[in-house]
Amino acid sequence: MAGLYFHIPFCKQACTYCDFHFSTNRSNEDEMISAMVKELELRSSDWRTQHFETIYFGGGSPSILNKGQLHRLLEAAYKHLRVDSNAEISMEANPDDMSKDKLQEWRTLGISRLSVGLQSFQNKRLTWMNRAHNAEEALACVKRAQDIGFNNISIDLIYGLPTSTLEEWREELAIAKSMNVQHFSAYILTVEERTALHHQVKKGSVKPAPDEMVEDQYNYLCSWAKENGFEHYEISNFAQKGYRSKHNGNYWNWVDYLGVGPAAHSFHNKQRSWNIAHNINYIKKLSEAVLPAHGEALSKADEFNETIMLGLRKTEGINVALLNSNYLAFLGEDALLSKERLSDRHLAMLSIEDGIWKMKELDWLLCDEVSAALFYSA
Amino acid sequence: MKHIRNFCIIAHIDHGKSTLADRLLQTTGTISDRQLQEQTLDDMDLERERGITIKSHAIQMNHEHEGQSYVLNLIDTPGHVDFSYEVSRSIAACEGALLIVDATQGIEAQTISNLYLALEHDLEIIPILNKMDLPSADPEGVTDQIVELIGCDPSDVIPASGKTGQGVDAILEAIITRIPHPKGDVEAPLQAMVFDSVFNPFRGIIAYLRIINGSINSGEQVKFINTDKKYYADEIGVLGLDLIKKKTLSAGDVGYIISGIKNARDVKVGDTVTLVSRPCPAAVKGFEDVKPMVFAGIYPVDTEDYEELRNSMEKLQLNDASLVFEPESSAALGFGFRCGFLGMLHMEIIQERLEREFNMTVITTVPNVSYYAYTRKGEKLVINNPSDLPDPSKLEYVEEPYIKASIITKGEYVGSVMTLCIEKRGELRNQVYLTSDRVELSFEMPLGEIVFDFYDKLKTVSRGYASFDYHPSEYKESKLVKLDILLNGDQVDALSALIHRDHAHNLGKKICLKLKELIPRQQFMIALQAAIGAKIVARETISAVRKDVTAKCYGGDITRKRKLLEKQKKGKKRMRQVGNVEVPQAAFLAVLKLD
Ligand SMILES: Nc1nc2c(ncn2[C@@H]2O[C@H](COP(=O)(O)OP(=O)(O)OP(=O)(O)O)[C@@H](O)[C@H]2O)c(=O)[nH]1
Ligand code: SF4
Ligand SMILES: [Mg+2]
Repeated sequence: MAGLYFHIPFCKQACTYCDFHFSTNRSNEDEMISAMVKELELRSSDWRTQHFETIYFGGGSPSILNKGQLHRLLEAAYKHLRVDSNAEISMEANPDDMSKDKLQEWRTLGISRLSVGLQSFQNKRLTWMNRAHNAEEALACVKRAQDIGFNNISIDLIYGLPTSTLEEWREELAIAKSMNVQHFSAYILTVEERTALHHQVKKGSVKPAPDEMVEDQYNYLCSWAKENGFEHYEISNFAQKGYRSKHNGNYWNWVDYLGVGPAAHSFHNKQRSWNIAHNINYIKKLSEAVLPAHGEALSKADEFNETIMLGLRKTEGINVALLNSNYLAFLGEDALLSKERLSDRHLAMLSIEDGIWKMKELDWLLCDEVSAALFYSA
Repeated sequence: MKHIRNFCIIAHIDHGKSTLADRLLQTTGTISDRQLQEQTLDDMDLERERGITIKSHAIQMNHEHEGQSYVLNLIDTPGHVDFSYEVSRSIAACEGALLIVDATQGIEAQTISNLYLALEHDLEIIPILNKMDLPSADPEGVTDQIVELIGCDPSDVIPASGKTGQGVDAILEAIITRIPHPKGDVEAPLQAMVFDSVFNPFRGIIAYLRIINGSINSGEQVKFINTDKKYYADEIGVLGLDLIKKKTLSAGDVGYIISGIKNARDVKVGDTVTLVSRPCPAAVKGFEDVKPMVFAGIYPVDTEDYEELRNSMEKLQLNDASLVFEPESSAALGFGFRCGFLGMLHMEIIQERLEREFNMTVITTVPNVSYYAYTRKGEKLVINNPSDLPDPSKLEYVEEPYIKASIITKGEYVGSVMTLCIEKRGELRNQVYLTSDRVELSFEMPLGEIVFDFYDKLKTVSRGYASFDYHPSEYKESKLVKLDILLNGDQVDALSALIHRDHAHNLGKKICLKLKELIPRQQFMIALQAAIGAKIVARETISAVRKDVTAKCYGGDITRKRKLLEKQKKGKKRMRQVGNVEVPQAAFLAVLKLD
């Protein structure tokens, strides 16, 4: 089993908080598609034996591509790789791109799942984020997609915004509820370096929401999701039964994935690799038939740590008994996880049953701290 | 010697010394257009980033005048008050000075103080009216100010612009015709003064010399009189944009010597170099040791780096003779050094240079001035670290250093400047109108009140129209108390400060609030307290972390996330473990950043 990811590195405009790789210079879209097709072709020999069950268009903003461009990518995928006939094909879509025509095109191309970047239903927030859509479009686009027949839709929401209140977040979720979607991702606003937001925070014109407020909003989110039949299956992800994101699940479950496009990441035979995050250089390299990638082979310690880090992000948690027995021979006694070695604080945040360690839902926001504490370091 | 001119460029900060130097270097063809950048002589990264000169920089130029060729040795100097020591050393190597005055700003505090430094050494002053290209230039008004200040003829003032190159030819002519050539006896025994030195990791110590008398050939054995050490002159030469090797240097020259000295302590700026084979009878008058104004502890973030820090500081001291330090230890921070600085900018620069040039991450503690403590037993103790203050029961009284401050501002800001100075415990001593609109205010103030953020505040209350200069005056008795900070009940010596009794309560509250903002939440609750003696005057708490997660593990970039967490496990940079609390550098300076 494997997943295929296309990174479409273009956006109409830069959202304030975003540190993904994208460019707003869209003059070389077609060259980019050609380069990505070339990359897929060059890499395909390594992936011949793999069975691809998911394809994911991410970015950037894949929804700005036209039908021909999307078609070329999919065609290359089907030509060079073994793609399951029932593959989950997802598309990250921005509301401003979701016209009836486009939605119909996507249906004909076989796209089965939409992940819609709504973020908020309030114009003042959307403007502050510098999103390309407004509240009205946010409300209408999902309905339009459903009318056309999409029945596996996820929406993205952001909470923990500066000056936000619990009341405001409740209202956002109430609107979300009325949309009848199968899945949603709710992200806490994070201030990433090299973003406009980072600059504003540094200069003091924006003050991040206090931790207490973020925690209140998170706690409400958890109870709201439960009430509405969503399973909280990863820190930031919620799904109706049977609607978890298969593709994203691959990232967390150590399933191989092939990432195509600038800044895309791949995981194959316990090797991680990533493409350069630069559109022009990416195109240039591929025109010379060179793969513009760097990588690392995971050491045993890396594997051990990733298992912890990824495990604690999922409701499944970490199978500690298995982990310990797998790595004892390589890392020695010192690496082993045991309750006795946990601080009281961390012990209280974990639910431990039958050798499975999970973050308690209401402590999940401390997952990084716990992961770091459990990490092995030589 | 008749064809040598040695001069420096002096001015108030930002009046355009380094920019005008560019034009001189360009016009004399000393540097090619390719090598030229803005403020070429500001070659330290820090200078370029901050747009200010930190170190004096000497460079030799050749110039034809009326058919004769001349050697012109230029020394560009810094304008910031913290670096006036650099100016005084440069002046000692020169016969003349270009006094630059920004035609849009007029005379300011360091214009006056640097002028006096130059006059004390009998330098020929060439006044230059700079930035004439700007529409807001006021040549008549500012010329009047200059004439009044130095008593010259208005026609002596050269209008110029470092931007357009206006006046550069006139300046070069004035340098040759007005500045006297150096006087010295080439035949006498070698007498050369070390006016600066730098450390070069490959070549060891490079000392910059002004040859007063005699001459020196490459390879000769030399003696440094004060340290009484002998070396061979492995290489001598003059200072171009790079070092230019020469066989001989003689009286009047400005140049360098490399003599295999590796140890920082073996070269003293101000020392006299002579020949072992034919020594000169006397050393030239050296420099007075600079008196540090501000003291602070510098500690390695990692306690194991103590020895390396000592090495780095010794090397840095070579480039910066004004840095002084001695070992000390702190209960909170372990082993480190108590360092003396010329001011806060100087302290900041030292910290940054340690980081950039020596890769040393350090923590600096709360800065303070130097106090005198008189004990009941009649002893007088010099207190450079608040923790050394004797117990109140043994203490008779404390004295703190005062300064004479001179502030030049516009008439309309006199009121707000006065309010600020009085708030800082200043007493007005004099008020003089320099022109109908420019006032010089003289205050007597505690040094402890002005070294920290006074200058920023002054700029704010005067909208940038105030300049400031100061000189130490005397020590006076003061009602000072030691304000301690406790983290989870443990006193942190590195956060203690001596504060005037009347301000102590209020400051204690503000410091606790500020620390609450600066110390990141940790895995447990932290109690913050401010105390005077046994009395707690303020408290705050920092609650434990409740959120530590990067929400999105996007696009399959697992590597980045794993590396972040690995780093988190190792602990944070620039954070010192104090007890079990991680304290960031900024917290140690919190005391200074209060409104
Ligand atoms: N318009 C104009 N700007 C100038 C002129 N000379 C300098 N400047 C500008 O004034 C600022 C300060 O110039 P510098 O040459 O760095 O001043 P400085 O006196 O060397 O400053 P310090 O060494 O830090 O005391 C820079 O932004 C220069 O570009 C001039 O003649 N005209
Ligand atoms: S959030 Fe999405 S649409 Fe906005 S800049 Fe980032 S990738 Fe582009
Ligand atoms: Mg300068």
